[in-house]
Amino acid sequence: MSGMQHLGYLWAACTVVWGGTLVYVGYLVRHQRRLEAELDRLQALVQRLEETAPGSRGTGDPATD
Amino acid sequence: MTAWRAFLALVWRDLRIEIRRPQFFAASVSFGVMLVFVTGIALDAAERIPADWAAGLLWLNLFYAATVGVHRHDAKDVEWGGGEGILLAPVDRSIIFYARWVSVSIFLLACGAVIAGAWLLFLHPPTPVDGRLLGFALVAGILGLGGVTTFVAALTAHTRLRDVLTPLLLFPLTIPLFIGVVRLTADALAPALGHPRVWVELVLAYLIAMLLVPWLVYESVVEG
Amino acid sequence: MNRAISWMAAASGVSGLVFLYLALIWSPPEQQMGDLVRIMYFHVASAWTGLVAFFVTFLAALAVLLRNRPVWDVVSASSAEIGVVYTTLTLVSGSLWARPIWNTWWTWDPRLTTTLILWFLYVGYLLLRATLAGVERRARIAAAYAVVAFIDVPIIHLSVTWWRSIHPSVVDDTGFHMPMAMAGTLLFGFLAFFLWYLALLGLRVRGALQAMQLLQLGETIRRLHVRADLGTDRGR
Repeated sequence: MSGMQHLGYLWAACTVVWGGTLVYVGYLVRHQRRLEAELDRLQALVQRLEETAPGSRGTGDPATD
Repeated sequence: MTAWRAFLALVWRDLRIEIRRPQFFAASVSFGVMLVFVTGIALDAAERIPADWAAGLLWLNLFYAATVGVHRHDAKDVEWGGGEGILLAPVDRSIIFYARWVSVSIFLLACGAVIAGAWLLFLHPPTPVDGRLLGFALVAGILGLGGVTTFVAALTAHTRLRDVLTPLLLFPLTIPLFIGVVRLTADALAPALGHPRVWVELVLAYLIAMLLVPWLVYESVVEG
Repeated sequence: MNRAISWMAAASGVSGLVFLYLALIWSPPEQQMGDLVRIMYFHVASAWTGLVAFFVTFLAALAVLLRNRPVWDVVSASSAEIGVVYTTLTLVSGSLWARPIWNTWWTWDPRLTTTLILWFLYVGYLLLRATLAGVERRARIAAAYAVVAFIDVPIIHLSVTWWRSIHPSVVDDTGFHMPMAMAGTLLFGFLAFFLWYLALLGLRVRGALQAMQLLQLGETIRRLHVRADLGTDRGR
């Protein structure tokens, strides 16, 4: 058991724990971004639909749908 | 009193279905015996195996054989709509859980007896010294296995991957039972190894805990 | 909620750096293991975090069974996922620690064995959730499993400990007595990882709630489409 080898295992464990955590954070953040983009898109769509749907403030003109 | 009658009626119903058309029993037993036989091939037809290994192999085969057919009840109940009828019965849901547990255990006991016979025949384990201990291990192990299997089958009944998920959930949940009955069986084969008292207590504690808790949550599992 | 998560993220980032400094530089090396003992800080802190996460899963599952609110189901699932991540890190770092000091990647040490069973239990939980159809049913069944699984954990640990202690064990890991500096570092590690856990839980729960919102929006859009179609039909 040489000193160098010890440090190798130490660095490996350190990298696994912190790298693993960061990879998981990255996954969560990316997932979050996708969700937010999708949410924005749908919300815009809902707004547009509500304006065009009959009985609402919109024109009711199907051409703008 | 009505609860007791409902319980008996449910157990009797399951058993009658089984007795009327015993194909499933035949298939399970054949599968279990074949597993033991293949284990013998994997061990290169060993003349003699240590008590520890023999005990572990018996229970590995029993557990695996038990997981194969756990969804047969549900398949039948869905097909004929009987499952919904049972849920409409004016009894506590726990009665349904215990009835199924008992009928599954009776079925598994019958299978287990045959599989244990095949194990004695094919694998040449050391001759059992303590028959009572072996009997206790078999009955208690199969009772526990039947209970947890019933619970896990209800959990996985509506999943897409239920054939894989059932053993995947069953084995980690039953590890204490598995360790306990394997140790007891090993003690029954070679008493010098042992501390059977500890394992009897562990198996009994496991039985009590794992059969009370599923009963508490079973209602929300089968609902709807 | 967004602000709280940002604060949590900042706090966990700072405490993570401080923990790294304490664990790698400040704390003294151990007599027998030398610098290798530093693996322990990360290993033990992730093990503890995993257990906390599963305990939160259990509590949230109880809440699902007692009061059927969707948010508890989300918390339960999120916490289990984070728990599986930390249990994985525990197992890998434990293996990397066992190799140089016990000369093996795997040993049937009771705690190590229990941790692996725990990992299987909760991977099973995540798979069960992923394959169950129906939101309501998924919440109920997953909660029932989570409760039973967590109650099983002490029994598993007891049985594995008896099993290994009754057998002669080559590896004897009776704990060493920690000097104050090491115990302090470890305690700070618990705190740092707990902050990380809270930040991750917040992030994960927010994501799951947004996914639910997304589903509801899709539903709204479908309804609006139907209404728009009916409206144009009537207009003709």
